[in-house]
Amino acid sequence: MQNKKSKIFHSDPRTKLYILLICALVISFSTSIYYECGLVMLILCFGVLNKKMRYSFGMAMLYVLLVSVSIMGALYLSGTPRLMLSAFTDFIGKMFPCIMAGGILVGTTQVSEFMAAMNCMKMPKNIVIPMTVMIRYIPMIREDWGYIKDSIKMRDVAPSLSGVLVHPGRTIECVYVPLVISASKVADELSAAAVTRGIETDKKRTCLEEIHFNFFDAVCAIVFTMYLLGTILA
Amino acid sequence: MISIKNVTFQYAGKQTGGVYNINIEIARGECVLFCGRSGCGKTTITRLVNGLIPYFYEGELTGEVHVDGMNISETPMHLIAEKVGSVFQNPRSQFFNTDTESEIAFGIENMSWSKSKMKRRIEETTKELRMEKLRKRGIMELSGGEKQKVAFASIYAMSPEVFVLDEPSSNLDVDAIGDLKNTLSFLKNENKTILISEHRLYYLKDIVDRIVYVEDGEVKNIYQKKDFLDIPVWQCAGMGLRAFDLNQVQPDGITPKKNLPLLEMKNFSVSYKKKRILEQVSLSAEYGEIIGIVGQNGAGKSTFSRALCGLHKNHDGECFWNGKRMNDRQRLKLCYMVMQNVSYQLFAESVDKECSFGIKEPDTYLVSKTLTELGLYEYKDKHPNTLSGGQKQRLAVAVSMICKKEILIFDEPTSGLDYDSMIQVSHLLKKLAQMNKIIYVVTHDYEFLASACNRVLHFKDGRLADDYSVDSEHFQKLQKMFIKE
Repeated sequence: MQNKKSKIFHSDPRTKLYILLICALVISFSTSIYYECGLVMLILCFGVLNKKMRYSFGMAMLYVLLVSVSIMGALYLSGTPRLMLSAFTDFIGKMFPCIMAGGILVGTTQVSEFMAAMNCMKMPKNIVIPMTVMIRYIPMIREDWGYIKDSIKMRDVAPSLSGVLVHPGRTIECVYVPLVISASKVADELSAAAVTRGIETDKKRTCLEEIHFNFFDAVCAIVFTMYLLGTILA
Repeated sequence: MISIKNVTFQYAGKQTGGVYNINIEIARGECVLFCGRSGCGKTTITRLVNGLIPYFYEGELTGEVHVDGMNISETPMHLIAEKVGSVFQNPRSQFFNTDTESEIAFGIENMSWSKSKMKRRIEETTKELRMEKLRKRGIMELSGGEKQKVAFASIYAMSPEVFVLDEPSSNLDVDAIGDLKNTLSFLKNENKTILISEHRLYYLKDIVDRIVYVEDGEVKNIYQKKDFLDIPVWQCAGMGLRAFDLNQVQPDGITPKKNLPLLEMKNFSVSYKKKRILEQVSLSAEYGEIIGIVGQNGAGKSTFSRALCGLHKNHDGECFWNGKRMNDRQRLKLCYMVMQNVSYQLFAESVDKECSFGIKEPDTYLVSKTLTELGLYEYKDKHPNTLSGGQKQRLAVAVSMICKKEILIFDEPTSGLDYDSMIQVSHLLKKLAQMNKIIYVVTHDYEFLASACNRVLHFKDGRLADDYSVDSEHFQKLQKMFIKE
């Protein structure tokens, strides 16, 4: 964020939150899958401009896969399997845009920026602090996952596709139990580190990297708002 | 500066870790060390001073704690934070930002300083703590020791009068401990008051003024440094304390009988993301060996052990077991790694079920025999996460024995352990060696190396720099590496 050029496409955390909100609204108003596809395309552009190339394209590919599975299901399956598959794909499909936008929010936002944004929005501290700890914890899940994957492999309960299909319960147990244990410990330690550095202050928190809206924010906000309006009016 | 008067504290819903009737006065500029066995309450005392008790940890508190005129239980947390800075055990979980600049600013941002004032302060801080080269870096890429330096800087920037450190050396290598020592001497010269709760004592020898020995939640004794230095080694061990002077530590590993080499590695090279981190390692190991793997953080110790286990695929070279070539999959069947954070590898809802987890036809006789051997049988119906750290470790070992693993790799098994627990781990390893296992231990713990290992692999600059047995003849090498005077 040192040079001017990269700053042009650095959006304010508030814009990202606004986009997240719009995504949720579009999903609840959308009447067909086309609107959702369009939304994912929009988020893809937003992610790419925010320099989250790999993540954005990866997620977009995943979405394409999901949609194709649901179309194939509709074409070739019938009866209960078709119902089950479409329930599954529709459910994931509905959440997908928000998850994708949320990932971009977490991946591109510095904690201090996020807190500054929350300050500007006059959010109460007891909402800001847990959210901060949460945002900080998300990248650590990947690290935890690495360790858990290793230990599962050593126990010969490999996290392979066939393993998941044959023993879904056990696989969930293997990942979920250590993750929760680690999460509760890390959240505790992070919070302790935060409060002993005065995060609960009643003064206005300042920020080394100041945040402000720029032209790019305005464009993003307008584009996404237009899309929402389009969805509602249609 | 600090006065703790008649303080008794009991954690809500927990039997252990409480403290009783604590009375201590600490003067400005003093450095006080709190030591004692795990769970004796030394960490609790530091929490009384930095305000985490009563704000963060709930429980029953009586008595009064005053720091620089503030009554801790009546002062809001953010005001305490301006006077008392805290550094914790785990460098991984005490930073919030992804770049060092913002992280150093975290505390002073909370103090609502202006941007220009903050910039100046960051400049000063990094200069005084001699960490200019850590500026404008991503925190994720830093080593544990560097992360901790950043945590120190973030607190130092707030210029508190009191520094409270909770086991700061637990996750550091030898060099990082040296840096930590320098930082502490610097703070002491600045006339800051320092409170440290710690297991590793040797690096504090030149810094501390008084030593508070805590036992079962009570202050048993307060020593001046010169009196403490007079306590003989055997008595320290009896108090559950690590050595204050590493020169007095002697090797204690059993030299194994010569057997035929069982595990052979030939021209083993390990890479990480296209970067070669270990070049051409060739070695052989036999039954009953306890092999310590030492070297700086980032020397490739963990990646080597993951590659040995068959978990890290990015490597060249060959591995033989009993003369037969083995690929990654086959090694994975033979090896088991006991991780530093054992919680990652325990999944089931009881100790008993953990032992047969994922096994199609569990051998119940073997399970109970193994649990008895490791002193876990009486806990067989308990949930693994209610066990203590050492018990969890033993449970992981039990699992490996039931899965019939032949090569065991321990990753930092003694970080943050007191003397007693360290010796227990050492006994456990020796027992496993007698059962004809091959054991590797990645460790930074000199006392543990001396007590348990009979061979040492030293990784340095991307290769196996040295490979020697721990006996009276070669012990100097180990000493030279760890004791730098």
